[in-house]
Amino acid sequence: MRRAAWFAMILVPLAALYVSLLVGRFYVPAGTVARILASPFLPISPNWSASMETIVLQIRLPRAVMAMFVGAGLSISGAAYQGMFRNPLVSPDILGVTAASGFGAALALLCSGGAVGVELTAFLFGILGVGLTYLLARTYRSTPVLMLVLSGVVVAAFFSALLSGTKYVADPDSKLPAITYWLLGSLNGTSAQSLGMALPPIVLGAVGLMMVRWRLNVLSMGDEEAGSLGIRTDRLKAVIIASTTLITAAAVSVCGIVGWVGLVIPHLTRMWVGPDHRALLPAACSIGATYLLLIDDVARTASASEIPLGILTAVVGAPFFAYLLRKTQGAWQ
Amino acid sequence: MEVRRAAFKYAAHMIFEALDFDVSAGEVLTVLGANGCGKSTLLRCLAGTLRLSAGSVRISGEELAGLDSTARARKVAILFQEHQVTFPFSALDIVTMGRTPYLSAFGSPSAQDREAAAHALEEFGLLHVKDRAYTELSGGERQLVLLCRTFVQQPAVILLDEPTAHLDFRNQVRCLDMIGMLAARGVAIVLTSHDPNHAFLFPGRALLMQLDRSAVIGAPSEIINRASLTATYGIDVGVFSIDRPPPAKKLSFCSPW
Repeated sequence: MRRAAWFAMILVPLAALYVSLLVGRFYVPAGTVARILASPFLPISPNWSASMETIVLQIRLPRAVMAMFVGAGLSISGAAYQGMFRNPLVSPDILGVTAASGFGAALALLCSGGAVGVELTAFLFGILGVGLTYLLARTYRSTPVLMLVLSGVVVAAFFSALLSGTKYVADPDSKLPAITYWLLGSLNGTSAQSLGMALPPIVLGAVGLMMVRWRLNVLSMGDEEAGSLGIRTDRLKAVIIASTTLITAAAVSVCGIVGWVGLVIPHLTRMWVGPDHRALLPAACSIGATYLLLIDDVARTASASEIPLGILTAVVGAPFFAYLLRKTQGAWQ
Repeated sequence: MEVRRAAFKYAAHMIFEALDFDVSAGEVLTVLGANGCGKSTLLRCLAGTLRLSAGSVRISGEELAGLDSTARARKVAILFQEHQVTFPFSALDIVTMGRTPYLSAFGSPSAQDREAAAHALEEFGLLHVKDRAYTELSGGERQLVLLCRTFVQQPAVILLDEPTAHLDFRNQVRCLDMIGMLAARGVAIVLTSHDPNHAFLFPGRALLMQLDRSAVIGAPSEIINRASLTATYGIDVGVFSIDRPPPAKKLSFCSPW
């Protein structure tokens, strides 16, 4: 890719981040935001109120950073899975991570766990769910793609049923609304602490995927062909699944179920930069980060109360995907 | 490549047994046989993607079963019959994938690797498709690009499972020409075909996998005759020869009779 494109991929998300720190009900001038951001590093005498600093540094900044990492993480995961499953309609929750994480969170909410407890349980259950799918799909020392997909369906259905059971027994006045709202997805209440919990697995997973970005190209030729080109396909798939699961489980655990990002963004990115994962993965990160950041800005400012993120991503994502489908007539180029 | 006492059983069903043959550098071995006689299975065993039930395959002196997938891919390249590319990679990307067995575990192809791929495309007269999407190429061009990829893989042996299937007459000839060029560069080639005439086109031998599960191997002019083809396909096939103006040698061909 050309150098200008690489610069754009870094600058556009950063510009979007700066804009996101400006928007919100509480007005903070653009210059003040810049000075507040620079103040920890440069000797600037504060001419702003303490509440401005709190809002920019402790409310808007963590939330915006989280939106970027979740958007980037879901997009790179979707791109990797679409390559591995050789199917541009695959999204990161195909192996059941979302359903399992959702159940974990609901269970923690039912047991009155705190924010940290909910995040942790959701994360662990996401990993457990994909682990089950992987074990179920494993046959004769290999993991065929079809077995993975079918096992994913089974595991997702199982955890969805458990989730429904949890909702059924939850107190309809307090617990049930909490579970329902959590599942709709939101970045409301993102703190530095939740950043500290979610960012390491997301970064780790993304690094893992970036390391195998060339091998993903070869894997998308199919298992047998990739094997004949010298790739240990079962081992490579394990690396991809582990990385993707770290990312998506962490993403779901901090912001609930945010659909469509991991499907639409890789698809859109592939139309722009082509199918080569060496360019596709970083570009999907950049576009996904910007996209979810802007969506979250809408979520927190468009109406008097928050709009759940999962609703917005679907309301924007589904028609956009329909448009892509019509425009390309199903030819994925 | 040396194949000794090779046998393959699928459950209790014997596909082939006691196969013995060598393929030397620069030789093309054409494997002929009816549908379901085990041609593709044999190629997969030679490639190491399937394990022989008995016997051994050695390539340049090394036992195939003892190699890991990377080491194997440096010795053997294979083109499968079923092949589907979902995403529109450029022809150059597809050919560059042939360099994968020479990369480190987390590496990407270097500028030299891409250059080698581009050079191979040029060498085989395919430079005009370099930047085009593989998915938009014609069947003939795709097959030539894949052959180019096997060349870039620099193996000692190239295995081709019905490389001319689905190709029109012109592209069959182009494909066979390119296979001849690969052999001329010192690669041993084993290919399967449904057309016994292909065996006459190459400097090398033919392997007939007959209906009674016996195998005959030898020079096409010696082993391809009415009796052996009938034993292979179960139909009456005649073999003919015509003289061509010198220096060309006699042209042999067969046809239903």
